[in-house]
Amino acid sequence: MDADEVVIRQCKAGDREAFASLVARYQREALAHARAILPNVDDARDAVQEAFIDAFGSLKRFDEGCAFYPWFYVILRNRCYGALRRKASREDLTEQLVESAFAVRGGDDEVELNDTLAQLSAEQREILLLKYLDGLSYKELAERLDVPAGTVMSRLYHARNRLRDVLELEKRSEGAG
Amino acid sequence: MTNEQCEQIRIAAAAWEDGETTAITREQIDAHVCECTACRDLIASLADLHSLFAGAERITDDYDVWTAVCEELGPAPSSVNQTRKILYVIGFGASALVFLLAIFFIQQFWKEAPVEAVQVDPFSTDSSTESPASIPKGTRPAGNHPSADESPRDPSLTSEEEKVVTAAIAPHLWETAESESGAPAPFSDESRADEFAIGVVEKVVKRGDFRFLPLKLNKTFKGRLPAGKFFAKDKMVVRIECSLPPKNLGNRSQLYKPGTNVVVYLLRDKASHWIVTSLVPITPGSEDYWQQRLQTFADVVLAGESDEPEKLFREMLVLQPNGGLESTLYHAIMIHPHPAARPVVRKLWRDRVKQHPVDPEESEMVGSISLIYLMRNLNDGEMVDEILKHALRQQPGTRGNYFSLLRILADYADADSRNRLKSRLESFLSDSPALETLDPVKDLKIWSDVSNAKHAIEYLNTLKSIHPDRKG
Repeated sequence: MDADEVVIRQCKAGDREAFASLVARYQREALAHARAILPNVDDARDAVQEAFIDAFGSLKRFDEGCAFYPWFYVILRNRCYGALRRKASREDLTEQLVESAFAVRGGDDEVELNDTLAQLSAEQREILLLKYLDGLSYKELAERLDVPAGTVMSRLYHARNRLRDVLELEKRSEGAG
Repeated sequence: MTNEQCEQIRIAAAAWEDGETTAITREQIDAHVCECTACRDLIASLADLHSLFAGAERITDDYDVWTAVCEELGPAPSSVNQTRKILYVIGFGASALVFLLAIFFIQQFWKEAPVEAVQVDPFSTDSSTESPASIPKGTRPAGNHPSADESPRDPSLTSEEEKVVTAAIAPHLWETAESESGAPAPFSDESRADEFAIGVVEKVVKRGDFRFLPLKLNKTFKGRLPAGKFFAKDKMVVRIECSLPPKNLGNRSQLYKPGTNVVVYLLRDKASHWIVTSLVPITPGSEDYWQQRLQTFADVVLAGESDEPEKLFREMLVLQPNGGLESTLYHAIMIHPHPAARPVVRKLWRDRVKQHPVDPEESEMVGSISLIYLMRNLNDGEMVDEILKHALRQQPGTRGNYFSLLRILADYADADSRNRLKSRLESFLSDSPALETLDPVKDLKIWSDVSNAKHAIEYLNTLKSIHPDRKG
């Protein structure tokens, strides 16, 4: 039996310690994923925290035959986009734009890559990072994003196109400067 | 060859590049790109993007989520699983039985014992006897975390500095005329306010709150912007000079040249900590420059300092350099959904749509702006209809993007707007083939539109059920 499956059974029985171990197992991954959507670290932490609370309340409906994280990810991204909407409604755009940095680290030019990613929409950034950094297949992406595979194909294409445009624009402005 | 065919080929080629299969075969793609240079170049450039992410990984965060989750979940139940619960119940029952039996036998024993021996009955359950337990049953205050000091003061500020904050937002700083009227002002010398602002920025920098910018600030402060004004009680803008370590700046180096003036936006959060929300280099013509102008505009209008906000907004947009109109509009709507901006934005939107009635790239940009406009300008039924009309006349595949955005942004809409959206989407669905009859690969575009429309309707229904009485 899968390690998650055992833990989830314990969680369903109300075992907090088991849930703590589940949180510990996935919190880093969840925080990293949340940061791709919510550039502000505190917002990302809040969203992850709320998502785990939601998950704890919904575990009874979780099908033990399925993997935990893809199921949890749907909850997490709902929380993240909810936070993003709330933030937009609070008119904190300036803050969002400035803090839209450091979703990734490493690479040839970390700062440049983060700057480029910051110019994409949260959805575009999310799908690109899931594809390039997590290496998910279209089927897995469809599951994570809760959309059909055809939509994944189209969204990924548009996100790449946008990324390419941003890069070209940056090159041009560098050339001009 | 149509644009639509090209796009289908490009989407399929990108999927093949990712190791996926599509209804369009590799051979069909190869045959197409032999003839179509545009597609060949684009496919090659998309493939190049892989290298951009080489060696990159997601940022990690060691934040302990569990502590916060645990607090939110409240106290844990006394038992952890059913078996243990049963065992506890049995154990507790047995103990209680033993306890009661013990009392019974002791009472029986004392009944038979000499009277002088019955002076203290430590096991008495008689309520008339003064109980040693002053804490009511089950209310012992156990397990409460020591509450954090929730003082509204910023711990990094002294009380004297707090006084300066209060003084700095005094009316005389808002209206310079008042200080000349003879009314005693706590700080008639505005340099005290500057001094305070400088102190706050220094402290914020010292606290290391610039997590997101590789920036070091010079201590050459130029004062506040606009001169002599705090925008609001919890908001402050300071103009300073900055310098940066040249390495790791990437394309920021053009913006943050040594000696560049930078505008620092500060807000006080709920706990009254000053936090830097934005740092804007004042490089004339840069996007940040315009954004800062917009923000200033919003602040000036919101502070009621302009008699003609619409005119001011229009003038500002005219000043916008070529090519940045969408960006300005977007920021204007997001930052400033003020009624003064609404008619200007509406006119610009209409002009833009006239210019690009059906254009995949432009219309998508206009579309996202439109939807944000739509959602942020509630109860504007006329615009709702116009925007939906615009969305529905887009090419297959693009409409789905609108619907998808709609789904995300529907939270902002009022009941009336949501109903309009829903009825338009339903009518779109009734005019389209059923999703089940479509092939998600072969009929990708229409399939994506229909699927996204269905998703959007489902989501709108959810919102309705969650917020049945929601008003705009």
